[in-house]
Amino acid sequence: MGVSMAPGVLTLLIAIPLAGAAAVAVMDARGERAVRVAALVSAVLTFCVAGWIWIRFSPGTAALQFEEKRDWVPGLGMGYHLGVDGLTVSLVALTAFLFPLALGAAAAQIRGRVKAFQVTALLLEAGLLGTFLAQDLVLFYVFWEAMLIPMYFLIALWGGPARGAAAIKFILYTMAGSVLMLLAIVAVYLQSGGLPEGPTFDLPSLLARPLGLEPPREALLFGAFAVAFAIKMPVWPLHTWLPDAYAEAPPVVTVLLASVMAKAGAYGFVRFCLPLFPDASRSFGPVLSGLAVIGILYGGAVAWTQGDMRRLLAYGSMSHMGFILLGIFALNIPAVQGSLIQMINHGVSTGALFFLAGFLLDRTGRTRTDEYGGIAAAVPALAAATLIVTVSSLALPGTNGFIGEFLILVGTYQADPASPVAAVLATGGIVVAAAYLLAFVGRVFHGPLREDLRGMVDLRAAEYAVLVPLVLVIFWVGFAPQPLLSRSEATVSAILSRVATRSAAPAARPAAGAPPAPVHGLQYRGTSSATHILRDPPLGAGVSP
Amino acid sequence: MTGAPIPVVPLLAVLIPLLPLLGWAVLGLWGRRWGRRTVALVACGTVTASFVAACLVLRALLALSSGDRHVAIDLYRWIAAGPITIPMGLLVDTLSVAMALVVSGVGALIHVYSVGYMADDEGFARYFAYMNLFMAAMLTLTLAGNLVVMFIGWEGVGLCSYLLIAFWFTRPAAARAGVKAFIVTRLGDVGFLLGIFLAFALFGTADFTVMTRTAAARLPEGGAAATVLALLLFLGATGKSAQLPLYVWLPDAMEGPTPVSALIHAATMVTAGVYMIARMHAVYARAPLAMDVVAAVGAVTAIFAAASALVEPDIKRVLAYSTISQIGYMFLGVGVGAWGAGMFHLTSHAFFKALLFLAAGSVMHALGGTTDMWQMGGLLRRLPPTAAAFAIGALSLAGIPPLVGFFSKDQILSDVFHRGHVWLWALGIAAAGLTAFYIVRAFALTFVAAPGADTPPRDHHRHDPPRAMAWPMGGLALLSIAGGALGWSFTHPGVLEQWLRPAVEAGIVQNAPAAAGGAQGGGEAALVATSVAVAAAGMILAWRVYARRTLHGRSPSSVVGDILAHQFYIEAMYDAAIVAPSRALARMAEALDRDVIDGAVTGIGSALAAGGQVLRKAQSGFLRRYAAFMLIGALLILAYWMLAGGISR
Amino acid sequence: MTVPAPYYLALSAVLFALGTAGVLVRRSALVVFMSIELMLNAVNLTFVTFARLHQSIDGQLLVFFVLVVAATEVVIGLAIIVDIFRSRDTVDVDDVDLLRG
Repeated sequence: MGVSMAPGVLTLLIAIPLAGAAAVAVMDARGERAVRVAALVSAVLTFCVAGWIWIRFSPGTAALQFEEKRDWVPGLGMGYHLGVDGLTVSLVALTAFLFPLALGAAAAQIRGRVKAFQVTALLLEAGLLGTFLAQDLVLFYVFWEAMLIPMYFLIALWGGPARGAAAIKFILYTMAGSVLMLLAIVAVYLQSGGLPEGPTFDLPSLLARPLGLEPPREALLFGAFAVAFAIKMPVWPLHTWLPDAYAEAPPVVTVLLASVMAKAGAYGFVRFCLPLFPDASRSFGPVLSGLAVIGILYGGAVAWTQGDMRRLLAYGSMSHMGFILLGIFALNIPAVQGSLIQMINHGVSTGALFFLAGFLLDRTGRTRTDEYGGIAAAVPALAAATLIVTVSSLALPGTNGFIGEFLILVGTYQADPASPVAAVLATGGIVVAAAYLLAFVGRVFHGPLREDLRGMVDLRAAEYAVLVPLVLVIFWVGFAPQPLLSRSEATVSAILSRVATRSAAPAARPAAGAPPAPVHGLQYRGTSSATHILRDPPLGAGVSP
Repeated sequence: MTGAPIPVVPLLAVLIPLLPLLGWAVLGLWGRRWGRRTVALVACGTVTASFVAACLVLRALLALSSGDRHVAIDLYRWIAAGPITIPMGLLVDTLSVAMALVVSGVGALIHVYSVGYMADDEGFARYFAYMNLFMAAMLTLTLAGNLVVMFIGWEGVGLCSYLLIAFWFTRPAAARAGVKAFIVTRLGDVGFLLGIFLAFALFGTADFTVMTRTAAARLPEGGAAATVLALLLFLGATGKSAQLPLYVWLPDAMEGPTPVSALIHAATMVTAGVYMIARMHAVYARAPLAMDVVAAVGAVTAIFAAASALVEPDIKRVLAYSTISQIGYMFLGVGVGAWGAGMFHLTSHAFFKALLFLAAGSVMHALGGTTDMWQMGGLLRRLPPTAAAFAIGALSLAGIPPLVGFFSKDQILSDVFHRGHVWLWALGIAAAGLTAFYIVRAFALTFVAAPGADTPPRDHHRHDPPRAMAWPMGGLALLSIAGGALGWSFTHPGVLEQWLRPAVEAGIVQNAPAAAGGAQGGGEAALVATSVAVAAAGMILAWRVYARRTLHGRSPSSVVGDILAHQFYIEAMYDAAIVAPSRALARMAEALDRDVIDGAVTGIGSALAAGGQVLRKAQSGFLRRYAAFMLIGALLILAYWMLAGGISR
Repeated sequence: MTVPAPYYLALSAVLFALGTAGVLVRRSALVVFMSIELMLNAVNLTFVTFARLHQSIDGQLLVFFVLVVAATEVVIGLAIIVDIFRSRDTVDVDDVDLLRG
């Protein structure tokens, strides 16, 4: 439906940052200002396109909109297939919204190799947008990996003192997850031979009918996907790359890590794990809910003990991501809707917190909270902005954070048998959040004003330009979240009905499970001759008469 | 829903919280650039306008018959996801209008007082921005049409409480007290949130009107559902209203400016729990067990906090404990089902406790911020209007007729007695005696007793409050004297109770004959006599002990005094049982994170590296050795094929 | 007359063993290199023999592959040896252990 409206608009969305990166790459590196402006312009253009898509998106349908589908490697069932639906339209808008802000804030913070930074950041944006838009498993994987590489360089080249180790840890950790996911993608492909169009990587085609996986295999594939996404989010206990990466990356890059890249993990759970593996989602949901609750409380507790500002916020971010995971695996509409809107909220609020941490670092170069004190007296506007963002992170009603966490918790509370316990424990997480966030505010902004900080400069115009849009979103979503919620409702209920119907009709499973035998036959016929070479004794081939 | 005035009511009802909210936005954005006069005008103007709007709503409701005084307003669909729909809803009925009048009226007076009190403060605009935000939140809480909208106000007032307690944030004690208040009330808020979730599970909505109407049908009397819901919400109330065991934040909250203590920590926010229970009365009526818990917690808190106030040297902390104790009375009232009496005491307490705080603030203003009563004394002659105001408040608090406190407290005690809770009544009477004692002690130490040797010499001139501070005190004094008319208990039920009746008795199924009201006239007189006699005894005792002494020594130390001075060591128990363990737990988690979880990850890395270290020895760099290895490998493969017979065929 | 196949095979085995021994015992890179050529050609001889024996073209085909690979190997390998000799004044393989772990 959307195709006729605007052919190629999604490709445009990926192409603009790529073109921007290319344009910046050929510019003169000495003209830093021109380089920054060019990069900013392409990010703003991207946002305009994303905003146009968001506004023109028609809620009320679960179908893909603005869809684009072209053959890529038809022989292997790969396609260049892009589309937005309720799940992604707001995430795309969020991504495109945050990049101009981050590039704007970077002007003051990134002082070396400016051109390379802008190019890398724009490549990252293209990768992220592609990840959210791709409707083909291989295409998704390509973008998924493509966003990893720029991020590695952003940490490794522009980061803090321990950037090398942090970057290596980040990339090895996430690659380990990606490899598992790649294996699972191939397995899903091989499993899909029973479909009329033959084996395919195309997600909508894969979802058109049940894959007919036997439970153990489904669990295995679910696990492989889940580990990749859990590392990206991150989910306890796969989180230890996070504090290092968040603390060592330059502050604006941390914003991108926490606000957008973490969402790719959460998005993956809803996009792939739930619909592709509904049975496994239901049986392993409680496990992930449990991990989510642990993550909420554990992340909050560890955040409380951190002396480093960004490590504190990093663990706090992880704690908040726990709510999102909890909501996803409550598997009912309020909770999943809450998780989706919370992805946006977390992006805005945590992003704003890291922006603010960047502003502080930029002024003083101090990373530890106890090296500050009482600066609310010196920088009232910065303090007020921090307060608003903190309040949103605390999920106080009237701000965006409340909408998400409330829906997640109310949904979790009504989900399955043991989930009131999860909801009660997770609700306790709001006290923990108050403890560490107020400790942060208290140590940095309250108390006696340190003499050496008396001359601190309050917010500059450029910093207002970054913060004001974020604060507006915080209150807008807090009081009128319906535009976001209504865009995703149809998609969420479609996904959840997939998860639910399979459980409702266990009797139908033999019929659905019948295909496996022919599927295996097809599998060998379909594979290349390399298999034969590996399977047969090498010297026997060709010599015997 | 007929009648001409109704269409105005929604508009006015929206304006009531919206006006202070606008005030906040305007002051927050531009207040720093404006002069103090403009700031004061905007801040007081918006709150006064709210009060006027509330009065107009009252007038509109008065024009209706008592059954029709109930207007539910759904402004727009706020949150909708699947089966859950939450409108941004307001509810205007007799209860919410009464509360809104108290809040905006007392709020307006305290705003005016603040103009004088804060006149020299650097953060003038910030202060009034916070105060306006508080008014907006409190009025949202009051007029909310469902639990979730109420939660906006509920958390909003908590936030403002945090901000205003920590208003002088460069003082570490103030910053700490703010955080403590926020976190302790948040503990209660967990209960409130869970209560909302449970309400959605039970009713499918959190709308007050629907819940009130269907509670009797949906919740079996005394059933687990009603009891758990009522107790969860009550947990929220104990946090916000500083009841046992979550009271600990309120005494520390006195670090904030005194008008804040008067407005937030005496008159309005801390009574939100009582209001919420009155709002949810239909659910509480289905849960007798929860009601008993509410009443018992209220009574025990009343006497506990009154006892803690006995030896407190800090005048504001005395008033803080007094507030805790008086809110205990209110919970005692609503806990026995005397909704009207509880709300009456809420109202009268708002008058006289605000008055007491403002008078205390006036003393501090005159003394340059001192709060230690042992450094005061003899102020009667230097600050006569302040002393008079404090005296009116103190007599009202002590329950001396014909002041408002007498009527409201007496009505609660009488309702408690008549509904058969003799033990709770006895606790209440005992607490009344202690109340009379500590407030007269405070009055005597501050105003009457001769200054002691350790009192710093005061050279500065006589320093009575400026007019901006005097007028609100006068207004509150008047209300404290005349407010008794709202609940003239000998014409039981009083004006206020009758007004509230349609709101607080809707949805209650009367299975027992209505509690005997004025039927037992003789008993009533005896009850009144008892409580007045106990109060008088307490007052006389305190006067004899404290009025005539000079202030050279503190109260004699004894075991009892020691226990009282440490508030029964509850803070210490909190520290030992909750704060220290959670800190230790957090540190353990941190160590676990660093050493075990991250250790495992880096362990895998270093294990691989160590393996590489071993294997690198094989890379000797000697070409011929590699060749030999290759030969041996090839021979082994050949041998395997020969032995396994793989090569043939 | 035709020489029976086993003779060819025996010859190629001997050549292969000689080449192997050369690789293992000689230290001069050039001689090692020649020994490798010897081994490759021993294998070529085997291929041709079997191709003839089975009346199949596959073996002869593979010989061409081996010849091509050997030729490129000579080009690159000799270049490397010359380069090493220039920089280190030796072609003794035991003295060249830059890649020791």
